[in-house]
Formats: sequence, C-alpha cells, structure tokens
Amino acid sequence: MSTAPLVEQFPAPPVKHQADEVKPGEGTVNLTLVFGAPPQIVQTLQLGTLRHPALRVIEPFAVSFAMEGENVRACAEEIDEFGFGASYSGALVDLQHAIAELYFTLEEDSERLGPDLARVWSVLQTKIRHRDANQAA
Amino acid sequence: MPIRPHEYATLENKLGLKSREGRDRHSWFEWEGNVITRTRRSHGSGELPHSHAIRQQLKLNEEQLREFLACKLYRDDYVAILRDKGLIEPKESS
Repeated sequence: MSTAPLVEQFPAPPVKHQADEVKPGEGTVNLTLVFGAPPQIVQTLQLGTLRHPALRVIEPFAVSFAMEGENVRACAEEIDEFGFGASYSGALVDLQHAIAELYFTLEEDSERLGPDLARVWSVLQTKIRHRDANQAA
Repeated sequence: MPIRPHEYATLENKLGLKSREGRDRHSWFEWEGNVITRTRRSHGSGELPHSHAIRQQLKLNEEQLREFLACKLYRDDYVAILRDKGLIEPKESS
C-alpha cells in the first residue's frame, strides 16, 4: 500500500544571486533575485480505496480538488459526487464515505434508476466490487 | 449561490424530494417510481459548503435554483426541467 502523502511537498523555490564584478571601493552592485514558480499543491489524484470493509476499488476514481471558500472540495466528476472538508484529506475522506454510500443506495434501487443515475451506477459497477466475507473480516 | 439548511428544506419541499437521514441527509427525486436525481447535505446549522454540488446533482442552473428558493417554481416546473434534459421521458402526445 502506498504511503505517499496526499499533498506533495515541493522544495523551496530556487533563488539566484547575480552580481556584477566590481572592484573594492568603486562602482555599484546590481542584485537580481529570480524566484521560481510558487509552491503548488496536488490538484488531482487517483483514488483507489474507499476505506469501507465491504467494498474494494478495482479501478481508481479520478479526483480533482478545488477550494470553495475556506473548505476544500474533492470531486469525482465521472459519478457526479463530491466530498468536502477543512483540509484535502478531510475532503477526500468525506468523498470516500459518499461514494460508498452512493454505491449501496444505487445498488438497492438499481432496478428503478433514471438515465443519469443508471449511468452513474454503471460506472460504479466497473470500478467497485464487493469483498467476499473472508476478505472483509 | 450559497444554500442554508432551511433553504435546503425549502428545496426538498418545492421539488417534492424524498429524504432519509444517515451520515448526511440524503434527498432524491422520484418520478413514476424511478429515482431521477439525488443529492445530500451535511448536518450542521451554517451555510452549506457544497451548494454548488447540490445544485449540480439536482440538475439545476443558478437561476432555476434561485427561483425555486424564491417559490417561483414548483414540482411541475422541476419535472419540465428534467424532461428538457432528457432525464424524464417526454409526455405522450394525445
């Protein structure tokens, strides 16, 4: 299981000092500071687990992140589901719970879904499997 | 546009959504026995942080949402909106 952090830490931006050659006591020194791009946080990831004992993800969900006010929104666009939290990890956990709950809800109603929810259910079926009882234990 | 919990209740009422409580409050729209749209809101008293997502899941644009909250649109209008989007079968012409 990967232990890679959800938010990739970037090194400090490079700083380049550039000085003219001057002799002691004469001329001026021009100092140019060149900053790299500002640090960035990860905006998308592939979600491969739902933290649910009965469900196994066999094909990951593409998840994108965006700020919404002071909260973070994690979005799995292909199934039109969202998670929210005060942090990236909080939003992701909320999304995981939401996807698991969505799976069970649509499974229960699978015989009477409108076209859009039938599409969502079809996507969920390609990406999620029930764990058998031994695996879940 | 932000949605407050009491406005979410207004939406449930105007759109005729069914609901159940769980980890979140789940709401869905049924038409002729089929589940057509669904959404959810977290529990809490403040402004809902995911108003945009609620609107999207209910297949409404900003203006439609505003008019439902202002009680200018009702369930029949929602049915018409969903028909226009092809989510409900068109009326059979008589």
